[in-house]
Amino acid sequence: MLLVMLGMAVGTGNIWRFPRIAATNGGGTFLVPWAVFLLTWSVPLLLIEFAMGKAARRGPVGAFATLIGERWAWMGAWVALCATFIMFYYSVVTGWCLRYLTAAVAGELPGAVPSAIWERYAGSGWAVLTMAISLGIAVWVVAGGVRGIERAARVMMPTLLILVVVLEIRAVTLPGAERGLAFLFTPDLSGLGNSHVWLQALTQNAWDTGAGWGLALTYAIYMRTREDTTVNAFVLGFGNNSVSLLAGIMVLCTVFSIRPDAAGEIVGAGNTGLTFIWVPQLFAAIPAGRLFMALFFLALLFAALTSLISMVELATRVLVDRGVARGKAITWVAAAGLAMGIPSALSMGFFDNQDNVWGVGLLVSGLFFALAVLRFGVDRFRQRHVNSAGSDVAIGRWFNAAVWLVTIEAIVLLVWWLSQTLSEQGWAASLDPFVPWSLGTILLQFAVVLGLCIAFNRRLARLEGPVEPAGDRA
Amino acid sequence: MTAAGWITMALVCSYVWGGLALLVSIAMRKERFKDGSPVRPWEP
Repeated sequence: MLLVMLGMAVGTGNIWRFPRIAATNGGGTFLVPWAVFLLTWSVPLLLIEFAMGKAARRGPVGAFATLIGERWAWMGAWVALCATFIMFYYSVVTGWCLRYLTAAVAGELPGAVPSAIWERYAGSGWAVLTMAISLGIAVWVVAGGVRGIERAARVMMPTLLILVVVLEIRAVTLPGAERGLAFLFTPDLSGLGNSHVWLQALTQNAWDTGAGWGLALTYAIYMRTREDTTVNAFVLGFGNNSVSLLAGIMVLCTVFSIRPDAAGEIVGAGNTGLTFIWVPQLFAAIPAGRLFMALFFLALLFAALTSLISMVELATRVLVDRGVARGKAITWVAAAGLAMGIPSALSMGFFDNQDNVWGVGLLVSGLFFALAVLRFGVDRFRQRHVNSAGSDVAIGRWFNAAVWLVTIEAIVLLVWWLSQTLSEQGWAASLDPFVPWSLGTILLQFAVVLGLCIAFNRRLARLEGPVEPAGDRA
Repeated sequence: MTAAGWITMALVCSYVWGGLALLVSIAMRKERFKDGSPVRPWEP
């Protein structure tokens, strides 16, 4: 169970985003708020998701309808759609990892011109092909049911963890690696007064733990009645951040050992620039670099695939709750994933737009989870659903304050993001809906999706599929 | 690396990895006591 959950939480964001964000936000200074938000954002939301999924035995739409009433089913629909829209472009990311793994094995990397392979591949028909293969693998695993997902996690997660540890040992034993450690861990206490660092740390926790996505809720549906939720939620949060920390040490030690002169340029190159242009060059410069490069992209592929599988399962589960047979639901999800993934595979502008829109959407999803618990009654929720049968550790009243804190954090983060966008782009440019990073494109897409969710709320709340029996009664 | 860097590294790593090790040990011990047999999630 833990491996499946960890597979959901650990994704490419741990390996390519955390090192970059930590490095560009003060290193050791960033790690302080990052550690704080693990307990004040990720863990409370994971507790909520586990409790809702286990109690309702339905996907996000059914869980919201069961917990706070049918007229709020649209909130669950938002959560489900947000994760599904991410699935549409996340299959493209998984395809990139697959392509670079084959390139590393075949010895194509890093190539004479570092960015040539990426520029030829990104946005081409090959990106569509690798996206389709990645989605096909995820759909095939989900078609095997929860046992299929469990089997895949049993192979992929231990392999991923071993690979990350092997790569980390290689990185910290490189000459000059201590410069990377110094960069990552040396704190600047004056930086703790910088709100930007705190907000980046909150954003990192929100995006890379999978808290508030509805994915933990979906897997919790299949828990046994006596299965623990509290310790599992903590393990998931700490396990996810443990992998992030390993990845941070691995990437920064490699960067500072091989190219200390270009460290700033490398960590500032964005997720894809760092991973698909710089990483091959860095690995090519170390002994047995081709082997370690292949291991790096294999780890990245497994991290992406296990997360993609959970997104496919979530979308499938929502349809099953509506009364669609599981086989047919998986076919629909696969067809939609393929059709909707093609634009992101062919256009980096479209990809960036979707990444931006639904990344912000996740903060709204987290807010909806907290609001649902507030509406239900935080103390009642804690006593009835969090401290339920099988919970190994009783959660105290601090949870009540934590739910309020999550609500405040989500609102502060959304307001901050809004003000940042307006001040950086100006009113006129930020309201243009055809600019990938604009406020206008986000508001337009949010309005359409929210409008549809609310308009079809009654239909959404009609749950005709069977309630999933608890794992111990299956 | 400065002393402050080493201290931060020790604190952050022991918090994240130490916390994980402690939680996993709690989870495994509690699961073992529940039915006295190895746990196979989702299976009857």
